[in-house]
Amino acid sequence: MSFREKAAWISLISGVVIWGFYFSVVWSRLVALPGAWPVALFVECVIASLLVQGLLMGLAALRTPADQRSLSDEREIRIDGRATSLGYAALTGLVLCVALASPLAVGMKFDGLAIASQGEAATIMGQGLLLAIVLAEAIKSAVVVVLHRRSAA
Amino acid sequence: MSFRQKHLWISIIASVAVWGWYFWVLIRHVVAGRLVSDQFTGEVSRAFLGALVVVVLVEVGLTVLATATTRKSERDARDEREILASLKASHVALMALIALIFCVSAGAWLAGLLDDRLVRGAAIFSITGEMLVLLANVLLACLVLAELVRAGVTLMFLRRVR
Repeated sequence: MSFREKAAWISLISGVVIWGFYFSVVWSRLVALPGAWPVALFVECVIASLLVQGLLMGLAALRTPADQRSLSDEREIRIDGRATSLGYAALTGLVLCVALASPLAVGMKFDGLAIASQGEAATIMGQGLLLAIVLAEAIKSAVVVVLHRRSAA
Repeated sequence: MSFRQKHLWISIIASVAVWGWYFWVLIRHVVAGRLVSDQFTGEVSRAFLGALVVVVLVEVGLTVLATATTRKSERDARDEREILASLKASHVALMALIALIFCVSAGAWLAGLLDDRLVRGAAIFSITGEMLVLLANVLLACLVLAELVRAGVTLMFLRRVR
């Protein structure tokens, strides 16, 4: 497995686990109190994400020869570019959805989450934007993994 | 100029003209204090739909014109250089969009925090009225800026390797 593929797996798995945990906690707290945003949990998840990714990338770098770590291969540059392009398109679409849905969400109820005011909707909009960034990064990493697997087959 | 470069210039000019007009209208509405008006959302929505229709029509019209003035062999050929320039530009645009979203979210959160705790609606950033419509438009501006960055960076890479 190439260093780039390892890096994509690390980013994908750590992102899904850490931010999956964050959004499950945030959802339950928002249902109880729609305007509340657990800032401390967000900061903890950012730190955890940086630490876990830094540690695992360090381990992956140690187990990979130095000449294989940089993006020197034409095939890897193309894979990285295609994944980034798809991630960008996904983020654009998701941000547009969040922007259009948020003003319409006031006064609505979703699976126990009742949005009564603009302030509450703004908090949920912020979470929606964070989710959009996390999803776009996960899509980017998943595309890198898929394209590497496909080209290796 | 290649067909790809013409298309990028069309995209930049159409976006700057149409979305520039749209955000100018929006800013004038906000400065005039219409954010608290019941008609604000309706007026802005009509302007948005109008801008969307116009930008699509302008882009389609100019692309047809560019197609007519470019040889078929040049239109179909998308060489390695163009593909790489486009992929690199997407990378820069993605980073720019994430940074813009982060700044908007952090700014909105800080403004809300200061407003709640310190000034209670008395500061210049205190928003009364259709706050979410305004925030949605700020996000739209971020998307337009990221697209301009993507088109601009692609053009820059295409010129550099020429």
